[in-house]
Amino acid sequence: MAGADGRGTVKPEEVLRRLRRIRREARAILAGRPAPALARSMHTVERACHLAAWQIGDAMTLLPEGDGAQEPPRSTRRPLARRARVRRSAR
Amino acid sequence: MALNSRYWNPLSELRPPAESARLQFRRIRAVLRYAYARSPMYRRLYDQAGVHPDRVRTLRDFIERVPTLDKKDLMEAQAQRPPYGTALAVPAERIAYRFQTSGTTGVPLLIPMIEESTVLYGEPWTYLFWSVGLRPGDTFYFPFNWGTFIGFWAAYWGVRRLGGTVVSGGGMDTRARVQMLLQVRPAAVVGTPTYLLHMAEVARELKVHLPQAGVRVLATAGEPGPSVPATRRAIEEAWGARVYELYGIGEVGSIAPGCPGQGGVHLCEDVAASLVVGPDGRPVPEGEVGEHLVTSFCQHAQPLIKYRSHDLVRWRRGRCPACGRTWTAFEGGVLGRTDHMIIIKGTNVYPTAVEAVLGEVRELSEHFEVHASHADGGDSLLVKVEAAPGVPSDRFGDVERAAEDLLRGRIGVRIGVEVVAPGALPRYELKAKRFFDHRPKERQWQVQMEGGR
Repeated sequence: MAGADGRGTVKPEEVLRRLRRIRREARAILAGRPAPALARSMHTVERACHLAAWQIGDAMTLLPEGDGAQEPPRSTRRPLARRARVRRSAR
Repeated sequence: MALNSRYWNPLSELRPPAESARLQFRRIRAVLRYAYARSPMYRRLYDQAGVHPDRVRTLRDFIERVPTLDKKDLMEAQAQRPPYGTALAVPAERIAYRFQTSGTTGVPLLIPMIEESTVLYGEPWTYLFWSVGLRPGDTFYFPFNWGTFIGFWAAYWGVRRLGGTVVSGGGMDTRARVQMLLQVRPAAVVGTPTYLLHMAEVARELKVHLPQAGVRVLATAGEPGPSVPATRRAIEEAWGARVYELYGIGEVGSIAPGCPGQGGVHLCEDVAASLVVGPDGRPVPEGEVGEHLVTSFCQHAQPLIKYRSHDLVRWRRGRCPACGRTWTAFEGGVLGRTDHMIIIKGTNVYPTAVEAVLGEVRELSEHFEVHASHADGGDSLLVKVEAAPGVPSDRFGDVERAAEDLLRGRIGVRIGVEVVAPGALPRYELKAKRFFDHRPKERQWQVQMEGGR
């Protein structure tokens, strides 16, 4: 149980580390092209993680997928690259 | 969940001001990059101004080099490429909601929202609810028709975030809503100050004693009210509940929850950054009144950067003695509009100041209109105000003189007062129209500002 100041007993850095792990897992599930219902739930997980990071003061892109003006975070590169390969091989 | 926590998010609400300023600037840079990369309107605007987001390295760069944006710019962008226009920064399929607000030309301004925006848009409401003791499981009554006005949709998103129970009063008249209140007995009611006062009037007609409904908190938005002591008192006495406000701007966000100490609002720094500027467009010192330029972090679909709110605020930094928050405070909430302020013999007069003084006259009600006009080389104000119920009409002349004397004593200039019978002025479900400007356009502060840049 957190104290009356509401800060909790887990440090923000640790929360951020865990959030990044959860986002990686959610993206890995999404990369496996799950059923629409499950994909929707994973998007929700990813967005919730991004929001939590923003509230802590960490996220510096407005959207979980980045702002389009800079390189996406390292953790997103692999699934995106994999998706591109799938698209190329389908042609 | 730490239900005993005083704060919804102490990491944000108690962030040291210096750290907060650094974070806010990083967020401003993020939104500049975002808008430049995604929105054709912003790319053109910044290219024309010769400013690239990567060149905005300091807050001073942001203040001096980044151009402001006004509602008419968005209107033009939407007109160029309907429906959402060239300001749009997301693919249309990302849009989860579409709202609208009144435009500058009679055509409504569309407000597209993506799912992420709705969460951040609702969050300041959650901050407000939490700070005044509302918790998951509490019931919220919405006497609101779920129309195109975004304000109370945002409150709804805030209740969903909190984990409260939503009860809709949509599609009912005020009498039915008053009766429903007694059945539901909500912890909180959400509405405009004007409408909460109207509900109180209807309850009196129905011989319903509103405090019997057991409401603890009234949460308002859309117009000033709870920061004006007399209006706050009128609402609280009628309802037997505490009233708090949230300052929001339809197209920007619900940006500033009221202080639990009721002395104003705090800018929720998760969702927006502020500059407060004078008529010359330069920041005014702490404690002075200026126009609020706002940069939204919660409007992903239609970004808003240095957006002219036309709202007049008095800003303060530092730890709030009433609630402990370190977020920027706007003392007294929104003090008026740049287009509503008038200068009489060198004195700035705001309708909210007039409202505060009138509230001290017992024989007057809280229903009033302020009419500004221009004659004999100067601006003047006439206030039309309803007498309180039960005041005989042969007393109106005495009440007018008493109110005029009080206004002159408090504000320092002569303001005419015309007392009218109870019920003579119109009632509104959402925002009340209080200010009527009959002056020539060039007399208005808004125009002076535009001329000053």
